[in-house]
Amino acid sequence: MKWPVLRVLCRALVSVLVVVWAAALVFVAVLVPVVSIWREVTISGWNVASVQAGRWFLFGLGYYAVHDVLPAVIAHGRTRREFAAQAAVVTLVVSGAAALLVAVGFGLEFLLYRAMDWTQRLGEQGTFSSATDFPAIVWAHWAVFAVWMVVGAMVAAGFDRLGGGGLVVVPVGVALILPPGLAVNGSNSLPFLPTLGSWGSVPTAVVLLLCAVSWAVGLAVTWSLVRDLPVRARAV
Amino acid sequence: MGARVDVEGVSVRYGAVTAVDDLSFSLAGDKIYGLLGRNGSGKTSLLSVVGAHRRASAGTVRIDGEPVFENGRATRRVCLVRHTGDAVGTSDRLEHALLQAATLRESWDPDRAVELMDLFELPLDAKFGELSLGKRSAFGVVLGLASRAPLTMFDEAHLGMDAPSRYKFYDALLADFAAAPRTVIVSTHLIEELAAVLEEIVIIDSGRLVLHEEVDALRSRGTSVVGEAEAVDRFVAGLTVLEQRELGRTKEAAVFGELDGARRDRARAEGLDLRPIALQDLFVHLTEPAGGAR
Repeated sequence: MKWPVLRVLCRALVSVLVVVWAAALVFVAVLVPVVSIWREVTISGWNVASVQAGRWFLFGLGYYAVHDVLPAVIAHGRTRREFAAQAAVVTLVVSGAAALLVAVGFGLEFLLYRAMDWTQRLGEQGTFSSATDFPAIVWAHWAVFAVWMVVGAMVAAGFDRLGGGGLVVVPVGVALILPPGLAVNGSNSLPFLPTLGSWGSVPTAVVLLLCAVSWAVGLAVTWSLVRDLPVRARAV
Repeated sequence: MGARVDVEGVSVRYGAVTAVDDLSFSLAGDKIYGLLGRNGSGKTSLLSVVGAHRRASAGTVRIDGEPVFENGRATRRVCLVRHTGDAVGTSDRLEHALLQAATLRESWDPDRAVELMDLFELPLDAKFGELSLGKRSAFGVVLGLASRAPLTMFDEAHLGMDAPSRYKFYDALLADFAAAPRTVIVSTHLIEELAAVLEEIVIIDSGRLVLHEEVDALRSRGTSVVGEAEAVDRFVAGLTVLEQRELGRTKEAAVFGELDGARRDRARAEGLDLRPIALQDLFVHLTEPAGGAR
């Protein structure tokens, strides 16, 4: 069977992704009409969900891949190298799938808002300003999600390898997610933290380059941590 | 076909602590081996290196001549089940874990896995974390046996299993071995229970090799000499004495080493009683800090 690690990871992660996406969609679809009882709806609820929670969710998937799936992969006779190579592809596949689902969510929300005559404002000016700008929504989220997922994997590798010393990896992670976060997505803030500022209108090529560099550096650091990571016996 | 295992000068260090200390031995393969050692003797560290779960601090482990660490050709031939296993998360359903094993392991035998799930009465839709310790151990056994890996290792895999489940494990292990011979290493404290299953024994203590022998040969080398104290002392002079106990004028001495026909005749002539030592007792004596055979 070809690409076994990729299959295992995709099967586990994409299924969770779809379930969480559906739950988030229902949540927003219920929350926004409830909010509309008290005040006028002027912003996109889905934008908040996809920009803020979406990144952390992808971070969590990356963390899970290294912390939980890597030991299982080794226990079943595969190498860390096989894992790293195939997991790198998985970060692109899963973040791509997540970006597509986000775009679909924007489309569905657009239909709901139009039917209710609400304003679907997407926040600050970014790489996309309309919920119907499907290609821009997809690539912007894809790029940012891929970086966040790799950073999640890197942080997991740091803590699994170094224990409490894994904290040293956290500033590296922040450094990697800052440039893409500043450059894209109509919300130039770290999730759940105040706005850090904006680079204004950054050319698409620069945004993609920034994300690609962050993604590659994140992968390189992760590999340096997992290449001889011991699989510790689980407590019983 | 079982795998050959060569452990060459392997050390495992955790900071200042040396768990395995320049250990070397070879297992020819196609046998069931017992790896015995007291708590903290280095068994899990050693098996972790053999199973490529960790890199050795020094030395090499070869599987069929190939270094095992980060070598896919070698690691595919190895399955290590430590305690309740490293291959399953607590939130994973058993069905999911079996599917994962089938995807990752080329030699996986799905039919055997289903048989073993039935044998140990493990429900497919249960979550691993919801199982009792004994059932989790049983699932580890399922993953190990159904892996059909040429080198399959169980590190205290019987943990928490009740006696009926342990006997099921031993029976299943023997049945598997008869159907498809391979190299099996079982690390355990339950020596007498497993003695009938094991063909060779490797004993380690403080990370060093104490002994590597066939079980039958080891049994024949341990003898308890019982009789009048002075006669026992005369008889054991020059032999390796593992332990001595006295009760009044009667003395019992555990000696290690084969007794030839002439010595046995002499024991009879002096009215001494020669008894085999249980494997478990022999293990305790051999790993005693003051053990004479070391």
